[in-house]
Amino acid sequence: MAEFEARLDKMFAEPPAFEDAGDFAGHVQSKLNRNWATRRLVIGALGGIGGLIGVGQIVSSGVVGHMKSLAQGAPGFASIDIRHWHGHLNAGFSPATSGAVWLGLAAVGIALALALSRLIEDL
Amino acid sequence: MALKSTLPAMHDVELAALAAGGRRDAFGELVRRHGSAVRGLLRRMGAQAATADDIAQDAFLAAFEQITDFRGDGTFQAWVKRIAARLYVRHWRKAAHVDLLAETPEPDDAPRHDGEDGDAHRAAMRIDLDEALRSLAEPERLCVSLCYGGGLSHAEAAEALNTPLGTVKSHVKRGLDKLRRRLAPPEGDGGAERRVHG
Repeated sequence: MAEFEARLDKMFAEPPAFEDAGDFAGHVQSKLNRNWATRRLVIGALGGIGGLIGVGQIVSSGVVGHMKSLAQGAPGFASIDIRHWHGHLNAGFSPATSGAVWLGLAAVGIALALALSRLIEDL
Repeated sequence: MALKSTLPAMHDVELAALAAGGRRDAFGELVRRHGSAVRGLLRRMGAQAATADDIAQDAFLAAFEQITDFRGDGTFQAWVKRIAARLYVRHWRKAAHVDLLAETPEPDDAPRHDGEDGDAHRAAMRIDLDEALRSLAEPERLCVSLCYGGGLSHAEAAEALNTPLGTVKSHVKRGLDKLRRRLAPPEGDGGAERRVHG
């Protein structure tokens, strides 16, 4: 019995020859590439949407106005005390919008990283 | 980074490691090496040619998704075959063939042998096996192919088929008995693999 089973194992291990073996491998490869491209597109789109939400949050939170008022009240942007500027920025944000902005910024960062990695891969 | 031209010289485990790092061309080389074995197994399990090729493609795509699970403990081919075998069983069950497991029609099992020698022996061995498998009842063919071609244990086959272990064992036993009779060397052949039937 064991002898026959070993023989059967050997027979099953002998793959049949297919004339279209190359075509089959090509189909799998093209499906892989298509899936990969779709995945990158979806991730990129989600990152882009996240980034847009983040930018929208930043604009709607009035940070531009804060920047202008800081610039008007100081002799030069470079001489602004960073702790003072940070305090103004935080004071202008409610806790809820502040969190949303940081999340948005994180999404923008992820989207940029993905775009960069894709660019490097394509190169 | 390995060049594309060096891929054919690499071992399967090295290619799998590259594929795990996102190298689709390395995985493509694995498909080129083992595609025929997987397609052949599915046809031996009873799948029609087009279905076998579709499932083989799905098996390779699934293997790429799970490539980090391949540790190189066994061969890559055995690993993909197991994935393909399970996918085919799922397909087979969806096609409502489960009831067939309970009944086993007795096909004509008159012994045949082509008597090939030399370099043609391996090709003859494949043809013999394929012909012999076709003579089995569908559940026997499926169970034998799952356990011998797909590398599943009886318990794993029973789980995949969602059928009692005893049923799988009896299908395998009946299938093996028939295959043994079919594949036995003819009287007077005197080959090294000749054996006396019990």
